[in-house]
Amino acid sequence: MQDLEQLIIETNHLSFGFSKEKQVLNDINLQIPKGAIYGFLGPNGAGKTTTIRILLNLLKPRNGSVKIFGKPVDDDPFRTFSRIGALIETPSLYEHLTGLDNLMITSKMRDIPDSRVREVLEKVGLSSDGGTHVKKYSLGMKQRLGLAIALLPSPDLLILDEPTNGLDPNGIIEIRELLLFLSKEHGVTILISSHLLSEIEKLVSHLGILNDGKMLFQGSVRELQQIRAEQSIIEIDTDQNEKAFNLMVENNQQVSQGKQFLEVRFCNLDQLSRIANLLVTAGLSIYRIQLIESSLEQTFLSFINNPDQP
Amino acid sequence: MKLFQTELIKLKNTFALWLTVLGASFMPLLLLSAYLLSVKEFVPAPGVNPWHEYLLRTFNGSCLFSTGFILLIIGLILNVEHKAHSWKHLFVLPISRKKLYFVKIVFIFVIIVVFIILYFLFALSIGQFLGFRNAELKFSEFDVPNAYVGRFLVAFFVSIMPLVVIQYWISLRMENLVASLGLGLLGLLVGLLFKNWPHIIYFPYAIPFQMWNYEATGGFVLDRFWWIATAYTLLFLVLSYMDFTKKFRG
Repeated sequence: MQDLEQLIIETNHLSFGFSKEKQVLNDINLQIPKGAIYGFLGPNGAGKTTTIRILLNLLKPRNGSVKIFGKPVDDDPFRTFSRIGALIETPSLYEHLTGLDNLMITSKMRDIPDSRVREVLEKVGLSSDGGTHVKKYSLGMKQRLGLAIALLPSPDLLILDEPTNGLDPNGIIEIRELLLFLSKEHGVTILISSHLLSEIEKLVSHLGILNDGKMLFQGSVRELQQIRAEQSIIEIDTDQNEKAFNLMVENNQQVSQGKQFLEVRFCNLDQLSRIANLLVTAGLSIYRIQLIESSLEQTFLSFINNPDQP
Repeated sequence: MKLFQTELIKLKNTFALWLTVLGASFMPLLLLSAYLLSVKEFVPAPGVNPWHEYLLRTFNGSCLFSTGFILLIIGLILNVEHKAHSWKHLFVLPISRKKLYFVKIVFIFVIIVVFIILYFLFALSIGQFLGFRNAELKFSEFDVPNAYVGRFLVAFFVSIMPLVVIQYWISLRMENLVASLGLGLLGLLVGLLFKNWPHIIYFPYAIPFQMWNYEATGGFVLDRFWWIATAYTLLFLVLSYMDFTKKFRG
């Protein structure tokens, strides 16, 4: 996918199972280039969190290897972890303490100056709530605080497991803008998992789609858009559909009979115009000629539902 | 030192710190009220140092009450982490599991030492107060047998070490505070009920009760005491450390 030297995260044939019978991950080959915002997509239970736990050395893979910053993750984990900010599932927060206290604990453990605590609180929009006990925070505020804790070390790599859980639409937009800023201005590489494409499609530059422990797609958003375009069709309905069908075959169009209409595989807008001309020239009355574009969400779902035929 | 500080921050607004101070004053205050309610019963025979009897009651109270405190404080300290689901966060910080393990157990020992010091400060102060308030109790006429107190403190600390390490391991592994506490209490109960059985010294939860009615002049109840307590401490320290660093997922 990318120049291998540029890969910040790389896994090779990663497999994992909590028992011998049930394989949770199967031959996962993640490749996350430097500076990418990598969307790790999949339905609940697909294996995203397990993969992230393996990346962070919290679980040992049954097979395969993990490299972060070009080195095996268990080679020098403390050096590696000093460059990583992570938010795994729900944020780990001491609810009887204030937001500031929670940040102070991590800053002291990471040996980070106290001044950085205020900076990150401001970044996530919690500067006025730092003195409030976390038990009084909303779910969204807790997610933001979790993100602030992950940002404390000014990380080169940010690993965020479902960070938009519990956030309202405004909160999602704010987090998206913050992550885009970190990526563009500071070159932070971001791995963000989600089960909803709509939440991250405006954010990510690369995507990995995981289902049932298998990687179904990995590539840039452009590549996914290409697949989406290939799934788009032109629906045609005329007064003589049989004649229209033959006309399409004669003109080398990939045509099939859909449930209601004829379906021609879409290539480009010129093709749409040419088909319309052909039908008119042949004296057919056109009742319908419409471009049906597959959305990214539908493309994502087609991966999930038909893993063999995206 | 910074890691140690974080352990203190985590206990802010919790019952743990109050428990340490209030718990340490509970038994001494109970003794105070007992002495004040029946002064005549506690008046010593002529020439007898009243501190010995008073301290014996203090020691026995310590055997009973400090062990309960130990279970509770360890449970509360570990429960802070369990409730916050913070292990996964701590394990991805650039800090070794070795440090995480030892900082916490050392912190627990420090809290226990503070508790014991406070307990004895309160007890001795109350003894002095009783001597000042009721001259017939004769606390003011005799010196505190410091050597006796010192010997008890050293022996008592050694006796609780295995209990602390085992309970630390149990509380690490059991997220449910009630379950870890229940298990510890069961251990203490067995240790207390069978404290006179010749082989009970080999049961770690019973070792603190070997300090019961601690003699002012003699040696320890059993010569093997030091070795058994130290051996158990080291054994469970190694086992729990291996478990925490190799297997524990949080």
